[in-house]
Amino acid sequence: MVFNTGAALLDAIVLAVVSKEEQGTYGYRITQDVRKALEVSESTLYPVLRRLLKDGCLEVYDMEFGGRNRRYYKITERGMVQLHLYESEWKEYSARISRIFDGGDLE
Amino acid sequence: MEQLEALLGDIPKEERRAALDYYEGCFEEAGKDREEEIIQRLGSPHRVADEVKDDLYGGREHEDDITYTEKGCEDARFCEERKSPEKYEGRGGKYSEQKKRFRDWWERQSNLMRVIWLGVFLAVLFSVADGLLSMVFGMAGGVLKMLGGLLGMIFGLFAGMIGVTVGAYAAGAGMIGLGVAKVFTDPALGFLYCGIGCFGIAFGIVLSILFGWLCSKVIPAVLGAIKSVLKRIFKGRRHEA
Repeated sequence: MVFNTGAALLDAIVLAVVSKEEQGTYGYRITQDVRKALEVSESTLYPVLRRLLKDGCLEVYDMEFGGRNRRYYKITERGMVQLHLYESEWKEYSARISRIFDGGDLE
Repeated sequence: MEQLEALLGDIPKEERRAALDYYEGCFEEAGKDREEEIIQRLGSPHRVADEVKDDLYGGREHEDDITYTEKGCEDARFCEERKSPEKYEGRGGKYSEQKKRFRDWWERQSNLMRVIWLGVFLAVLFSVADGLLSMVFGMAGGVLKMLGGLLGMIFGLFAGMIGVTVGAYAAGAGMIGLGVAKVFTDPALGFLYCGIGCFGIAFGIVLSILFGWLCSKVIPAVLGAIKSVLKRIFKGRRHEA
């Protein structure tokens, strides 16, 4: 596809994906889920996860899995608030653009 | 993964551990079949390491530069093979590009190679040091010899002056003595000798005066010149200011 995804939109997508799991989810799963919508690579998402973690929108816990440390990401209260913000912004934004494509009046 | 670990050697331990765990996890979960896919997406260990470091040290001001397309993160700074982000150069100054290249090369060296390179480096270092020291000491010896010669010259000059003067006196006195002796046997010759002797003494006196004047005038002048030269060498800046 043609359009570039900005950092904010990617944050929103990752937050949305993580919020689906009550107990949280791990890196590889997150990548898989995001790739259902966008063709991103693992190295794209790593900074996003780090950033969301640093901003307090996600929290982590580690669990042993197959002799290795597996890091789980869970959405926080603050993350939920941020996600709702992003979702309403997206509704507005995508609606306005769709309106232009569909030839209506901009309100 | 090994390469990535080596390339991330210069970041804090926790950050390195976190990044390596993440990528290790990706590969493990993907399984053997999808490993190749992931490697394709990631590009190279160098690119991944650069992206990790850029995220760690890049700072928010560069977020606008990052655009995520369907094909993955397209940050112009990373798309060319191993092009080093300008940020590193800006931060480190004019040598950080070379430093970075050197670091990456060093990481790639095996332990054996590292030992060999260290040996080469030390051998070169010691030969150069040895050469330099010999040169310095050689020069110092030369300078000392020069100074010795200079002193000898000055001493010789003085000795010469004194010698000539004393010689004049001695010759004169000698001649007078001879003349006095001769007066009894050959008066004319005797007086002639005395006369010559007196000349000698007179000459000695003239020389004494000459050399005395020279010393009183020349020596202070020379010392003064040396002092001003030394002053210029060591305190030149003050005068220029």
